[in-house]
Amino acid sequence: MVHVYKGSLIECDPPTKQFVLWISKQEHFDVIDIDETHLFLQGGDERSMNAIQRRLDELQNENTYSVFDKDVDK
Amino acid sequence: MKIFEYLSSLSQNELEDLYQDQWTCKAILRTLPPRAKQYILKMLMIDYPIPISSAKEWTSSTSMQTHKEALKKLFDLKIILLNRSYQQSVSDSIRLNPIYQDNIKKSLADMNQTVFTTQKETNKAPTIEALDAFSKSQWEKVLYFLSDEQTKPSPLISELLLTADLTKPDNGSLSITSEGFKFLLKDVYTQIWTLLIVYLNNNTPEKKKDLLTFLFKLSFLQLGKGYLVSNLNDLQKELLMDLKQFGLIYMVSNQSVAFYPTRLIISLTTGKTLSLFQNIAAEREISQKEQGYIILETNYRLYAYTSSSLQISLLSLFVKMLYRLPNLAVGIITRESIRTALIHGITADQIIEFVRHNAHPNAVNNGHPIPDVVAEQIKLWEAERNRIGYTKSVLYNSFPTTDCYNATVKFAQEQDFYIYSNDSNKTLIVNENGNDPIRTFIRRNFG
Amino acid sequence: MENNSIANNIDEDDDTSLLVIIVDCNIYSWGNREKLLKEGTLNDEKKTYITFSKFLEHLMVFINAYLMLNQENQLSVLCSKIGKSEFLFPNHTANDPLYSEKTIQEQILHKLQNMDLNNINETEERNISSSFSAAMSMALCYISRIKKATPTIRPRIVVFNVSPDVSAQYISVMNCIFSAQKQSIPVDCCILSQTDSTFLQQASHLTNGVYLKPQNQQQLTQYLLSTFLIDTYSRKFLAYPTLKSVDYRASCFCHKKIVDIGFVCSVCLSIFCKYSSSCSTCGTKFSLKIELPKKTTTANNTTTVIGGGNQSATASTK
Repeated sequence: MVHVYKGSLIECDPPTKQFVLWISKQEHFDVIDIDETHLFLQGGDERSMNAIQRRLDELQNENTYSVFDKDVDK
Repeated sequence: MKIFEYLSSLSQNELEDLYQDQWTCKAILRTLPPRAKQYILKMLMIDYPIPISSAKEWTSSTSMQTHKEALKKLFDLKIILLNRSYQQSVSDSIRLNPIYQDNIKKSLADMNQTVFTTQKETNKAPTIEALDAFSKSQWEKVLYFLSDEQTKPSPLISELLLTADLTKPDNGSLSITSEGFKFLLKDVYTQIWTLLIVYLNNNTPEKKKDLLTFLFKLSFLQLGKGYLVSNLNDLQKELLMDLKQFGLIYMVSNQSVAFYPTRLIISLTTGKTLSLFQNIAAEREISQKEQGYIILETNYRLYAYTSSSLQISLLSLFVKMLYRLPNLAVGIITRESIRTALIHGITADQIIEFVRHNAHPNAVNNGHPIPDVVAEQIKLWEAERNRIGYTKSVLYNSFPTTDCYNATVKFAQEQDFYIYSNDSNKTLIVNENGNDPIRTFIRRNFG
Repeated sequence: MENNSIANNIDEDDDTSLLVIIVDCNIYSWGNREKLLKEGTLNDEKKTYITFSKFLEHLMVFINAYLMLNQENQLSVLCSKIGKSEFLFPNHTANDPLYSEKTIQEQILHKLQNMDLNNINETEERNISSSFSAAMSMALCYISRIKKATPTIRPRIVVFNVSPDVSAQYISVMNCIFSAQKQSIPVDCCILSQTDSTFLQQASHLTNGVYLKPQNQQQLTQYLLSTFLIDTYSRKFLAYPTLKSVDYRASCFCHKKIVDIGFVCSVCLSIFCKYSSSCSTCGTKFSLKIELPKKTTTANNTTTVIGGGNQSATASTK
């Protein structure tokens, strides 16, 4: 019996994929692992996509050092 | 170019209506790339269709791609008509649209071409610098309103901005949309055409045609000369008032005898700023004032030699401004400032194009209008936000047999639903539209 | 608002050009043609010849088409008449302040009508040759001037020719041609006379210009519109008629005759058909004695005669 899932395909690089997998456990949405660079987000609604994007942005910000944006970050 | 897209969107009947006027045909000819212009001239005196293969002989063999593109442009504008031949041995033939052809021929044979009657030379005529200053200030008023919401534009302009989706109503006042941001960074001719197209579409079709013809006629006028208003018809007089608000023509008052075209309207159809080679010394000074003002350094610092609040507020869309001096504004491009711009909907390409466009002549002459480092970094910051690609789709896995899987993949590829598949997991991902067809396929063949 | 990259403008998709038209207004050539046409004794080929007034009509359509192509196209028209060349447009000697209000065509016709096409001075010899070299030089000077003001413009010269070549002008014409070649100014030639013109053949071949002798002159407009309007930018990718073989034989400097074999001064490379003791161009004295052995022609027509001193007779023909 073939299983059918509706949602969205996420394509990204391997580290980002691992990060999304980690988020999915915390934010409680289901993903199906396809291969190194692809994930399938079940039920892909706006909420989960925004959540992923938001967490990703936070991660980027944490790992960037910027001299002139010091006053903005702190 | 904006005008080309607009014209291509009209129907054949509308275009042929437009081509009834000589000046329109000539103005449209000028907007075409050089190759297309030469093709039109070659076919001008031929009244019968010629095979497409003979058109290939006009061009060198290495530039076939541009040859096809030029022909396509002419087809889109319905300047060339294609006669498809349904026989194997006879190739398709092309010929110039007879209406267009006739009008161009007439205008070539006409030795006394005047668009509108000129006014006699008077001392009260505004100088070219005054005209340039007027058109600049008028147009900037429009842009100020977009970027800075405190100035109040005329009702016509605000209505146009709303219809063009550049502003949206927001708790009673208007605020700028992401389209509006992109609009601000484009060059002035694209901006004017965007608003003009909205203005034209607001009118009835007959009026639209007359207005377009009038606009094209205006591009043939000479800068610095006055033209009598009395010889225009009522519709054109009405349009004059509106064009004054855009800064395209200048009139001393609404009851003036004469109107003066500005550089903007004359350059409008070609999209290149007219330089008026005849008056070269004055030209050099004028064009220097309006030339680029931005110097961008490899340490991400940006120096803008301008005192115009408009330009500074445009820059602050994506630059963190640090200091403001009487003739200079200093800022720095940071990750945050670019991210704010990106979140508003501006793309990295637009930012880079804007800086390159307005680069200071010193920077241009030294060969580096925008340092590669900074350009790459802006693109990288944009890519940072796009690490993940989303595609709405449907996933199939747990196929009973490998054959079933392979057949379904093949079916999906043939029907154009296929997005991705993984052979080791036997997982297939297809388009949303493909869900039902694929389910029926599986049920029918393997159910 | 957009002129900030003047250096880059040359590479853009831009066909702005400066066109200088040289019209041959030799009244003898045109008058001869009218006479022949009236007599009606021409064979088929010449039946299609056009008169000067008809030619002007074709020219006006050509000018209209050129100005229509691009808003910034510039034009200048020169006429080479007997003894002198003059600018038909732009008219520098116009006294009338309203002159500039007229259209270009009106200005050209006005100037032509008021011009004295026959410069015959009673004390001078009868001269029936048009001053083509003067016209070319004036055209090149004008182009230089305009180029100084706007460096990015692309100049071009178009010549309409009905008179035969004047061998006395050989040196000056060749100098003009080399100067045009150096500045990459194509010289396009439209031959309306019966015979080809060697000067113009060399001009258009050296400068990558168009060379055309229309077979049916009554349809001159069609030829003009489809070939002579191709601007310098478009020549990179559009096909246009040129010559395959050109007669590059030189003329001697003393008698202006075409020579196959002659004498060359080894200092300034001027060509002479007869031996002389000094070079008339640079004044070099040649050694007095020179032996002239029999001239033998080899397969490719080169002959080398080595004499004493500075003069050697070497010539080659293509």
